[in-house]
Amino acid sequence: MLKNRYALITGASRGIGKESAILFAKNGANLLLVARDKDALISLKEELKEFSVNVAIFVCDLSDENNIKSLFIEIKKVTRIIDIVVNNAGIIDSSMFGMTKSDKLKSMFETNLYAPYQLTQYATRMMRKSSCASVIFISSMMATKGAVGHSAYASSKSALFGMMKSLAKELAPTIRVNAIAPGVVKTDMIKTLGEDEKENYISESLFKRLATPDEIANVILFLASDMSKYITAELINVDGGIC
Amino acid sequence: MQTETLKKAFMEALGIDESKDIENLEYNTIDEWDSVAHMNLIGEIEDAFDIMLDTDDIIDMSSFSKAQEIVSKYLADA
Repeated sequence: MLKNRYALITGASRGIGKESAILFAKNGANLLLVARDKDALISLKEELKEFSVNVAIFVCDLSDENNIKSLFIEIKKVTRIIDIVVNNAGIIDSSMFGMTKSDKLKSMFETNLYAPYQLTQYATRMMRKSSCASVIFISSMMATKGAVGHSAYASSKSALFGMMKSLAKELAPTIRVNAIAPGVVKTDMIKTLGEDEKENYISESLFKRLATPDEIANVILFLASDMSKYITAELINVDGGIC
Repeated sequence: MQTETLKKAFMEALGIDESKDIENLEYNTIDEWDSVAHMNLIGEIEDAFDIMLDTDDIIDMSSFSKAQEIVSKYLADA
């Protein structure tokens, strides 16, 4: 489905990003994998050898714009065109509204909004000559539904949704821009949730379980591929029907 | 040499030919150079000179002569 396309995935070393990298490689995509964890990236690159696709890894902390610029200077040594961008890197933390310090709010927005915003600014300049360009943002069900103790995270992901809608309008028809709003997924990020909170999400899900990373990656693949070539400016909920 | 490369980048990105007075072009003075084409132009210039422009310079690139000035700065820094 993605043969010979170049896909950039952030937060690629684990969870949804890692599953997406594996699924994309299975479908023939060449990969530009970005994460902070060098060892995990090296290990993933080794794992992807069986798929005979080009895999380039980049260690980068995306919370600093200078790092993002340096990242693209390195990426241009590998490819001149990017077809797919999966803005997956993000952080989550919980605290009640009245107890959320401004530095935590700022940090949340730096990683969850500013970083994908700036990364996509650079990336789209390399996507204009692609005939199948697709940008995907990983938002969250909390962006539209909210959650107790997650005002900072929810607002950063909600802002990402607004950015996606605007960007889709600016970049059409050359580049499709969409977002996915996962529910609670079995990844390292859920360690920040309390047991009661996890149980609540499980009981609210119509499937009575959490999502697995591959279930989110499947939808990312759909949005990255020509299967979704008439879809843009869309947010797809992958949350097990949580209302 | 640099001017010719820059001219080619303008022609490619804006879909114009040499009948336009490229060296005196200014942003938004011809239909072909609008905000959407501007980002194509930035990409084309980056590819042509193998540079990565900062957002401030993208905003400042309001004419062909300004583009020349900005590109020269990056090439000097390289």
